This record gives sequence, C-alpha cells and structure tokens, in this order.
Amino acid sequence: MARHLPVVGSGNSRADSSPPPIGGAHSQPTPAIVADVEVEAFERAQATRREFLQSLGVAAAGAAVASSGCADVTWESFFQKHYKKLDVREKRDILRRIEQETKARYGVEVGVGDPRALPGVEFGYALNLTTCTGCRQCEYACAAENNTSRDPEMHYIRVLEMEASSFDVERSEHHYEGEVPQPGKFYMPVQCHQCRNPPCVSACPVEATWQEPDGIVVVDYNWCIGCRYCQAACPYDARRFNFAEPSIRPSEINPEQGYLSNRIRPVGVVEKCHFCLHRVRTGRYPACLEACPVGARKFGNLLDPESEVRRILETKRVYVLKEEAGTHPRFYYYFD
Amino acid sequence: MHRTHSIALALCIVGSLAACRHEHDTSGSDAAAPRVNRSVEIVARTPHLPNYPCAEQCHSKRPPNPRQRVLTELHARIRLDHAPVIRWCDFCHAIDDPNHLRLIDGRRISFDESHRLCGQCHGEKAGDWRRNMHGLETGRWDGAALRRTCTACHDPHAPGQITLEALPPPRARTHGGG
Ligand code: HEC
Ligand code: HEC
Ligand code: HEC
Repeated sequence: MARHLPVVGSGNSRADSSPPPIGGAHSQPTPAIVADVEVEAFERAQATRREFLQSLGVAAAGAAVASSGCADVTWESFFQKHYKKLDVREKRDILRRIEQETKARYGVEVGVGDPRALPGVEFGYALNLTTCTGCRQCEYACAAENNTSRDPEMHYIRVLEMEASSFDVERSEHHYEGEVPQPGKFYMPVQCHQCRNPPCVSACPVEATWQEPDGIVVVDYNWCIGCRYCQAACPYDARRFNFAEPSIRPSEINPEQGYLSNRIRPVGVVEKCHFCLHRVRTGRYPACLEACPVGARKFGNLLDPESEVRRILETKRVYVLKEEAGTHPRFYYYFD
Repeated sequence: MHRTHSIALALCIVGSLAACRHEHDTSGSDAAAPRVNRSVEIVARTPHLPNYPCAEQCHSKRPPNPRQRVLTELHARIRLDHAPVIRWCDFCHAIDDPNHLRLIDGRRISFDESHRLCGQCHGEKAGDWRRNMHGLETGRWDGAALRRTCTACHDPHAPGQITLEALPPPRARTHGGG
C-alpha cells in the first residue's frame, strides 16, 4: 500500500507571469577603484584579481555596464569592495541595493540578509544510504529554496543511482526515472561537501570563494570572475556555472535571501550548495533535509557531542566520498 | 563532457570516532554552543486518520469482530503482512476500546504514539528514532523541532519496502552548467 509520506517545504505555487532574465552586465566585474588600504591581504587579492582579469582581456567594463538596463544599480556592484573589507554601512547599502534591483527586475519584494557564522558551531551533514530512496525531493526543494535557474535548469544536488553489489560511483546514473528504489540499487545524493581542506578555495585566483568559521564554503557572486577554476578543482563536481542568463518565475522566487547564499545570481558566476546558510545560521534545518520524505538526511553542530550528526559519526558505519583526495568533507554518508 | 564518469567518486571508509576526533582537532573552532531550547514535539497522526475516532464513527454501534478472517466488506484494503506473531488486529488495536492502540502488556496508548507500539519489537530502530538517527525531524536544529512517528512513513499492517515515484531527472545530460 502506498504511504502518504510527510513532505514539508515544497515550493509555493502562486500564479506565475513571464520569466524575465536575471543577472546582468556586472557578471564580469572589474575591481577598478578601491580607495581603502587597510588589510594588506585583501589588497593583494584585489591586485591579483585585477591582473587576472587583465590577462583575460576583461577591459571594457564600462561598456558592459552601459549596455545594461539598470546601469545605475549595476554600476555600483562593479566597483564594490571585497566582501570581507566592507564595513557595516557599506554592507547594508549593498544588501538594500540588491533588494531594489530584484524588485525592479521581478516586481518581487525580497529581503537580503547576511547572517554571520554562530560561535561554537561547525556544521556537519550525514546522509543515510540505507533509507535514501532516490526520489529527488531534496534536489527540487533545493532549487526552490535557493532560487536556482529553472531555464537553463540548475540543480545543486545530483542523485546517483548505482548497483548495490558494486557500489561503483563512477558507473552511476543520475537520469533514472519512475518508481524508486529499484531492486538491487542504491541512491546517493551528492552536493557540496563543505570540505575542511577545500581545493576549490585554493584554486580561486581572486579569493571570491572561502571557508567561513562554521565550515561553510561560500562564494561572493559579486567578486567571482567566472573563470571556473574552482569547478575544475572540485572532486565532487559540486559547483555549477551560469553559462546563460538564469531565469526564474517571479512567483517562484524565495524572498528570504542571503548575500552569500540564495540571492538571485547573475550570469557568468559559479554557485553551489551552502548548507542553506541563510536557514542554518538562524537555527533551522536545510531545505533538502526537510523535504526528504524518508528522513535520510541529518544535520547539526559537529562540536556538540549531543547532536545527531555526532551520534551518527560515533555509532554508525560512516563513509566519506573520495577520501584519498584529502578534502576532509563535512558531508558524511552512513549505513544503518 | 560527462563529468560523472570522468571523476572517480570512490567511497572510502572513515573508520569512526578516531577519524572525526582528528578532524575536530584540526578545525580550531571554539567550544560548542549548547543547544538551549531544544524541544521535540511528535506530530499527531489522528488528524490524518479518516476513520478516527473509531468508536464514534462506527465501532460503538458495530463492535469489532475478533475472528481472524479475510476482510471483504469493511477495511477490505487491509491485509496483514507484517510478522508471523502478529496474527490479528487485536495484537495492536484495543478491541474493547477502538480509539486506542494496545501494548503487549495490555496498556492502552494513543494512535499518536505508535512509536511505543513499534518499539516493543523494533527496539534498535525506535532507539535510533528517539535520537533522530532514523525518521524525520524538521524545524530547528538548535531548538523546537517536529518529529514524525513511525506510521507517518511505515504502513503498520504491511510495512514492506517503502517505494516512491522519483521526480523527473535533471534536464541537462551533462553537469557543470546546471
Ligand atoms: C502491527 C500492529 C497493527 C495491527 C496488527 C493492526 N493494526 Fe490497524 N493500525 C495500527 C496502527 C499503528 C495504526 C495507526 C496508523 C497511522 O498512524 O497511520 C492503525 C490504524 C488502523 C486504522 C485506521 C486507518 C484510518 O484510515 O483511519 C484501521 C481502520 C485499522 N488500523 C484497522 C485494522 C484492522 C482491521 C486490523 C486487522 C485486520 C488491524 N488494523 C491490525 C496498527 C495495527
Ligand atoms: C510483535 C512485534 C512487532 C511489532 C509490535 C511491530 N513489528 Fe515490525 N516487524 C516485526 C518482525 C518480526 C518483522 C520482520 C518480518 C520479516 O522479516 O519477515 C517486522 C518487520 C518490519 C519492517 C520491515 C519490513 C520489510 O519487509 O522490510 C518494518 C518497516 C516494520 N516492521 C515496521 C513496524 C512498525 C512501523 C511497527 C509499529 C506500527 C511495527 N513494525 C510493529 C515485528 C514487529
Ligand atoms: C521519515 C520516515 C520514517 C520514519 C518516521 C520511520 N521510518 Fe523506519 N524506515 C524508513 C525507511 C525509508 C526505511 C528504509 C527501508 C524501507 O524502505 O523499508 C526504514 C526502515 C525501517 C526498518 C527496517 C526495515 C528493514 O528492512 O531493515 C524498521 C524495522 C523500521 N524502519 C522501523 C521504524 C520504527 C519502529 C519507526 C518509529 C520509531 C520508524 N521506522 C520511523 C522511514 C521511516
């Protein structure tokens, strides 16, 4: 008998209107004027970024801005400082600017926040491969939560189907259809592992991606130059690149947004799973976890010995993907 | 380029405690922030049961028939297929008190507490469930959470394997872009 499983956090279904493109000309920002000279490291990062962009021949920034429909707002994002160098007021102005930009493009009132890492918290994720049925509810809940492009379609989570006998991820399939689980198959959702030793971060020539104190690896979409080095460096194929202008229906936009997480991205930048930073730093579970009808996903504070992730690590058979890559993920797989 | 095939996503065992201790040592973060307002509420089943309250809807007028048989008229969709020891409805249902479930020692429990019923035999799974290592909890990881009881997912009458219809596969054949 088919069970009616609990499904939480599915996307909303308000009436839709035509999908305008998102993003804009600031997808290839140039770090022209940066007056403040305080933190040497970021000066260096900016210098590197400038040289790097020049080596790519990205010079006609002004022209790109001028051709944009919202030159006034986009111009500022072009000359924005590195995230870590922004003071409170500058950051607030940027968040308001992004909100206005979204309102102008989509007619949708959104709130863009910037929740910071909580002290004493290091996030970890554990996924039960015994219970995962491969239904892909997580994959779509993630897209809805994180405002990823619907056309072209972008999903942060990919669910691999593989033979239970061999458990060979290299010969897995992620285009299976129909009823799941199929007999003799295992299902393994893969997303960003928030590695302790993230090769993507070292690969970035401009410090547009870094690891936060709670372990989440973030991307500053305004600083990313779209070189895709990080994507090539990731052993889990967890990073995605906006090849084309992303699109999303206004009715499907999640208005609760974070600067380093699910605000609507421009074309030409890299993005990925961030453990739903805007949710988890305000105490909630990630959207993929809440959408899982079989409860295969567990999340919590690795520093808290009472948390379920810690208990799982201590009592279950736990695996990490590609351990030989030396990435030390904060994403674990376990069996009952 | 079909990335799935080009990357070697080999699975490796972590070991257990030793490995994660090691990793914690290298993280260099502060001491854990205690979870202050942790509370867990179990989501009630009774609002989802169309026949509940069973006495008021039917059984006060028509007492349950304790004879073991194939049901053809009422509850005809129910076919017990669980464990040999579970022979008939009265193993789990309080037949003289149809609004309640019954534990093996005769105690009555609410339909909202099926975990107590199942936990009599599935002690290990029920233990994992209590520690949120099995089952589903939503809400806050640092505070108030909602937990589903066993029958939110498992059919008590014929548990079997849970199957679902997969949502459509991603449209792009290759990844990288989306
Ligand atoms: C293994 C224990 C067990 C046995 C045996 C059992 N039940 Fe149940 N039954 C339950 C539990 C637990 C529920 C609550 C289900 C839920 O929460 O969805 C339930 C619910 C029901 C319901 C309410 C469903 C609804 O839609 O309102 C009916 C009717 C029912 N059982 C009839 C029967 C009949 C008839 C039998 C014997 C043929 C039987 N049960 C045997 C455990 C059992
Ligand atoms: C009297 C003891 C008993 C009780 C009470 C009981 N079970 Fe079971 N259950 C069993 C046994 C024994 C099996 C194994 C049957 C087998 O392997 O053929 C089983 C099997 C199962 C399975 C595995 C089915 C499969 O084919 O993989 C599930 C799931 C399950 N029970 C869930 C529940 C739930 C949920 C409840 C509470 C509503 C419950 N059980 C109550 C004894 C019990
Ligand atoms: C959120 C959904 C969910 C909840 C809640 C849940 N389970 Fe499960 N359970 C599963 C899934 C999925 C499996 C994987 C095997 C399957 O498909 O039957 C499973 C497996 C099991 C099995 C093992 C079956 C086997 O073949 O080994 C048992 C026994 C079981 N659950 C008992 C329970 C009990 C007892 C509770 C309540 C204390 C419970 N479950 C709560 C989803 C759930």
